Amino acid sequence: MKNTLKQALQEQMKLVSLDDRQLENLMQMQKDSVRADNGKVKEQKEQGVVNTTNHRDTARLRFMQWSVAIAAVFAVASLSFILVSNFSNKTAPSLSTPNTLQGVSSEMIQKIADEVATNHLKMKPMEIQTAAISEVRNYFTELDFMPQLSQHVEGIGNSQLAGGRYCSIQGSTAAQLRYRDNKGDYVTLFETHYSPELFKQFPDVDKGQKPIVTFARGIKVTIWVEKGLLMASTEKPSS
Amino acid sequence: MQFDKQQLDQLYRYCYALTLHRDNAYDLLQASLEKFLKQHSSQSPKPHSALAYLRRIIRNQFIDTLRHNKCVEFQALTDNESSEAIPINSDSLEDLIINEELVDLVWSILTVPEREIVFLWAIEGFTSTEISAELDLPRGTVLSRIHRLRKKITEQLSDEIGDLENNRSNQVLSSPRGESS
Repeated sequence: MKNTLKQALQEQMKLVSLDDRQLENLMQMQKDSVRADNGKVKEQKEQGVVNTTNHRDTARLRFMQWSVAIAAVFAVASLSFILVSNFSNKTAPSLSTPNTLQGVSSEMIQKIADEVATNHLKMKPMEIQTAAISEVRNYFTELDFMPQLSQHVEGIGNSQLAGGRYCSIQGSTAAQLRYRDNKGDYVTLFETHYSPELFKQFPDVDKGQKPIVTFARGIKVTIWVEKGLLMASTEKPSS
Repeated sequence: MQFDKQQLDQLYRYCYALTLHRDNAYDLLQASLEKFLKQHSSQSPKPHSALAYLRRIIRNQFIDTLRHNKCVEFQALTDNESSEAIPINSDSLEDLIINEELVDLVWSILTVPEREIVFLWAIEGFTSTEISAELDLPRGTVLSRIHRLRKKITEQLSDEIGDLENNRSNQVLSSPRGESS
């Protein structure tokens, strides 16, 4: 059917629109940004209140500062005592408890957690959509390792593989495998070659060590080494 | 300040006009919106036109991506085109008629700067003056691009495209009583 160029272009563009998932992600991004801004404003307002108090009642503020300082000293002393007691009771470093960071760089944990949580929230389109790991392996030809399934991820709400895309973790080329659990939520598994020089020490589940569990950007992040790969999973927190 | 569904779709279409790929368009929109939100908190004053501002971010982000991927089209997007003032009617695309099935072909033969102009003209409904303000180009440059655009489209799709005037003449000639409809 013939039409003016303008009308033909307009008709075609009407068919180009965001799908529900993409739209939801973009709206959520905006909501998160507003929430973060509101948090900052609240913090600034609170600071403003403290400053006003400072002008009005300096002596009271000094007393409060001293109280806080003394409480902090006690807290640090107590924490040191507990840590020293625990350390002396253990014969070897253990990663059996979630959030235990012994022997692992907490800075590296936070960097990885932040990076994978950001990627999880972005929900960029999958480059391959399949439930078969063999097809996923065939797709990722540019990796210097072979993507593996992880029992840890498949144990989360009977998650099923949905597909994947290339990504990176701390500059190291990685695979991002996306799973869907029985509630319909996405769980993302990130895998990259485990280089102790780059990533430092992480718990190896093949040696019976338990993964590190932390949170970043409101996302539950679990990090471990399995089958010679550094793996990180991201999921919505349970509560 | 938040963009609603309609505005996001509008921006997505702009990204699509630049990339001609739905997934890449979404990636581009997402990255640009993220930049926009970082630069403009909900408390900061609203830019004069948030949509125009975000379109600018999208454009710059797209150029960065092309530069990163070392694509050739980038040069065409930022080249110093001569601002020769061709005395043509700014509405010179208005009278082109085309088979609707060939719209994809039209997009594909155009360069990125050309697609951008066509998008702003056809989808956003901008005049050549508004396009020149949006793209920060002299109006003469926009007009000369439109002139070349028309030439390119009519030459490359010569069998499938016509203009309203010719169409009317043909209808007059083909009508037994010489009446136009």
